[in-house]
Amino acid sequence: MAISGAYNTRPTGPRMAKNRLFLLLCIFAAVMSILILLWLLISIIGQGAGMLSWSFLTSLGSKDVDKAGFLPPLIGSVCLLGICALTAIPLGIGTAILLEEFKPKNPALVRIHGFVQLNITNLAGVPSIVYGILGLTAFANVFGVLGTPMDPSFAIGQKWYQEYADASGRLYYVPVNSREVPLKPAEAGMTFLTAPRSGAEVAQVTIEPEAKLAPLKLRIEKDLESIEETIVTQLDATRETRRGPVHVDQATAQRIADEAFAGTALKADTQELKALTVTALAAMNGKTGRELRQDRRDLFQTLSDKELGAVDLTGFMIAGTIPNRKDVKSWYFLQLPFGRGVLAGGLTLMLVILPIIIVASQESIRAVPMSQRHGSLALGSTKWQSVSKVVLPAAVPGIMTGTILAMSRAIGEAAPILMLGGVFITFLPSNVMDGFTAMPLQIFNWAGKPQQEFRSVAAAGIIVLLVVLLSFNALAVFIRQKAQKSY
Amino acid sequence: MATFSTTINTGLPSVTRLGKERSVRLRNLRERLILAALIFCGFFTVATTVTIIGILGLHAWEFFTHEMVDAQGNITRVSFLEFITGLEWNPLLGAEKHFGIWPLIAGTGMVATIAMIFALPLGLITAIWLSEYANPKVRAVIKPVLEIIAGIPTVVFGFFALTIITPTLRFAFWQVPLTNPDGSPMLDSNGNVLTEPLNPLNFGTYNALAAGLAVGIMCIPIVTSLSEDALRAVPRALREGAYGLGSSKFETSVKVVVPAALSGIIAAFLLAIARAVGETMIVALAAGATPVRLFEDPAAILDPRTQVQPMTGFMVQIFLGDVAHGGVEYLSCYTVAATLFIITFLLTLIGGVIRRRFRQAYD
Repeated sequence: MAISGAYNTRPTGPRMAKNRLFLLLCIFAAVMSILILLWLLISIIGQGAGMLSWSFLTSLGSKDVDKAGFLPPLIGSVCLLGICALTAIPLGIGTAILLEEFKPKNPALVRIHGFVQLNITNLAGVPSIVYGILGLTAFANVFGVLGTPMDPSFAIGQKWYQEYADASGRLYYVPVNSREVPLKPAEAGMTFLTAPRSGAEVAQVTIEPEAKLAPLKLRIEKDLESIEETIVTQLDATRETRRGPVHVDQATAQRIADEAFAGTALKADTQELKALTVTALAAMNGKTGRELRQDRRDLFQTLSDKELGAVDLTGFMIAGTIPNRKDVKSWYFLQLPFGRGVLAGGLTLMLVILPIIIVASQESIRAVPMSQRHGSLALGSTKWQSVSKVVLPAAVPGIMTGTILAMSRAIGEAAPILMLGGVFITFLPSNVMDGFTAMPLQIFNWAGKPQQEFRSVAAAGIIVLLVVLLSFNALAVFIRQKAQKSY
Repeated sequence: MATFSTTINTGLPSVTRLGKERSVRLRNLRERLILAALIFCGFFTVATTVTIIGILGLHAWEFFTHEMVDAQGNITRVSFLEFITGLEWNPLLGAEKHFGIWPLIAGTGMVATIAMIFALPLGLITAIWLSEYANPKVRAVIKPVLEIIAGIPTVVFGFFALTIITPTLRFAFWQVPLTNPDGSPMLDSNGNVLTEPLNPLNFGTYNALAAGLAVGIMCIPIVTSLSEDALRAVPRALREGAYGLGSSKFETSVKVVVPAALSGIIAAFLLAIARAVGETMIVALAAGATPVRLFEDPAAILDPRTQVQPMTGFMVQIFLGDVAHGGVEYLSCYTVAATLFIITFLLTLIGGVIRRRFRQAYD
C-alpha cells in the first residue's frame, strides 16, 4: 500500500475501514487525472494523426479540407511571440526588480509599493478575453483618437497606386502621392506601369473609346455564358437523381458539345474547342458533387482562356475606365492606430503574460540570499551595480524558466487575440501591421466549423501546438535542473 | 562607472583622480535614470489596470446613457435597471431587443458550477493525497501529469469537449438508424443507411455539461497545486499531535491538516472559480450560442443538457461577427466585459484577502 511516512498508527475497526476507503478515493482521484490526460491525448492523436504531413506544415491553406495548411498560423504564432517576448521580458523583469530590490521605507511609498504588488496579483486574475478588449481598444484603435485603422493619421512605408484594368482584365498601375488623390478615369496620353512598384516597366496601353471595345467584349462574354449554360443543363439532364452522378458516354459528350457551340461566333478554333470539350465531358462520366463542379470549372476556364487568347484584348483599355485604389506596403510599414495586426496581437499577449513573468521573476530574485547583496554593497558597488552584476545573474535561471513557461502560455492563448486576428488567412505577414492568424486561433476556427472533416484538421493542428508547448516546457525543466544552485 | 573600475584595475592613480569626480556624477545620473526606467515598468502595470477599468467603464457609461443604433438601424436605449434586473438577453435578432444580463450570468454560473462540482473535490483529494500520503515515486508521476494538464491550451479542452465529451454524453458509440415517416431506413445519396447517436438522455450538440466538465478538467491542476501548497505549509507538529492522540491518517488529514490549511484551500477554490468564470475558448466551442431563456423557463438553469451562452461566449460571438463600431451590439459587449471583470476581480480580491487575513501563523 502507498501509506508511507514516519507515522504508522494502526487504528482498528470502522476507523481503519474509513482510512482505507479514503486512500482508495485518493488513488481514484489521482488516477482519474492521469486517465483524463491519456484519454484527451489519445483521442486527439487518433483524430489528427492522419492529417499530419509535411505539406500540412508547409502549405498556406485553402478553404478545401484536403489542402488545409498550418504555415500561416505557425509563422503568425512565431511573430506574435517575438513581439510579446521583446516587450514583456524587459517590462516584467524591470517591474520585478523595482518591487524586490527597491523597496521603499517612506510610509507613503510603502503603500504605493503594496498597491502595485496587489495590482499585479489582480491583473493575473483578469480573464484573458478582457485583455483582448483592451488590446482592440488601446492598440488596434488607439481609443479612436488617431483616426481609424482604415484611415490612419500616421503611416510610413506605404505607396499608393491607382489600378486600371484593360479589356482583357489585365491590371496596370499609376503611382499617386496618397490615398486622397481622386480617382482619375483612363484617358489617352497616360502612362501605366505593369506592376505596382517603382522601376516597373511602362506598359503599352492603347486607350480606345467604349463603342469600339465594349461590343466585342460583350459578345465574347455572352457566347461563353451560353456555352456554360448549355453544358450545365445538358449534364444535369443525364443524372438519374438530382444529386446523383452524371452519365456521359462519347456520343452524349459529342451531342452536348455540338449543341453548346451551335450559334456561337467564337474567334478561337471552334473545332479544337469542341474536341477539348468532348474529352473533358467524357472524363466527367460517373462523377458527382464537388469533383464534378471542379471539372466543370476547369473546362470553362480553359475555354475562356483559349477564346480570350485568340481575340487578345490585352493592352486595349476602354476610355474612362475607373481605377481602384491600391497600396503597396514595405516590410517596415507602420501606422497609428495599429489596426488588427501582428503588432496589436503581440502587445495584447504581452499584457496577458506580464503578471506571470513579474511574479516568477520576483520569486527567483527573492531566492537570491541577502548575504550576496550585502557583500556586493560592502565592496562599494552602487545599488544598480549590485543588482545587475550580482542579483540578476544569480536569478537568471529562475527568470528564464518563468519566462519560458509564460511564453508557452502565450502560444496557447486564443481568447485575447480572437478579435485581433483574421478569420481566413492564407498568407504570411509581411509587416507588423499585417493581418495574422495563430495556432490556437486557427484550431478554434477549424473546430468551430460545422463540417466534420475540419475536426481532423483541427486535431492535427492541436498535435503541432502540443508538440511546440511540450518542447517549451521541456526546455524550462532542463534550464531549471541545469542551473539549480543552492546557497 | 566603467572608467572608474578600469582605472583602479590598471593601477593608474593620476587618471583615477581625474576621472573620479566626473564618473561619480555620471554614476549617480545613471542610477537615477535606471530607477526612473524601473518605475516606468511598475507604472505600466498600474496603467494597464487603470486603462482596463477606464475603457470598460466609459463604454458601459455610453451604453446606458446614449441612444444607439443597432444592426437593423433601429435606435435603442438601454436602461441600467433593465440591464441588472432583466431576465431576457436578446441583443442580436428579433424585432424587440432585450438587454437583461441574468441569462448570461446564469450561463456562466451553470458552466462554472458544473466545473467546480467536478474539479473542487477531485483537486482537493488529489492535493491531500499528494501532501499527506503519496511517496516520492508516485509524486514524480502525478505532478508532471498535472503540470501537463495545466499547460494545455484551453482551446484544446474546448475541442475535447466538443468532439469527445459531448459525443460520449450523446452515446455516439451506439448509433441507431434514422427512419423515414413510413418506417423504412433513411438513405443518403450513396445508398448508405443514415444513423444518429442513441442519445438516451437528450443531450444537445452544444450543452452546458460538456463545457462544464472540460472547464473542470482545466481547473483541477490549479486547485491541486494551490491546495497542496497550503497543506504543506501546515507544520509537522500539528500532525504529530494528532497521531499522538491516536488519530488515523485519514482523521489527521481531514480533521486536523485540512482545517488548518482552510484559508489557503478556500483561496485556491476562489481562484479556480475565477478562472472558470473567465474561461472563454471552451465555452465558445462547446457551450452553445443561445442564452438561457430565464423569462420563459426559469427551471432551465437546472438542466445541464441544453445549450447555454456564458458572458465570455457572447463576447466571442460578437467579436467574430461583423459588428458596427459603436453600435449597440458592440457597446453591449463592453458592458458584459465590465460585468465579467467585476465578478472575477471580486473573486481574486476576496481570495487574496482570505489568504492573508485568515492565514494561521505557526511560528
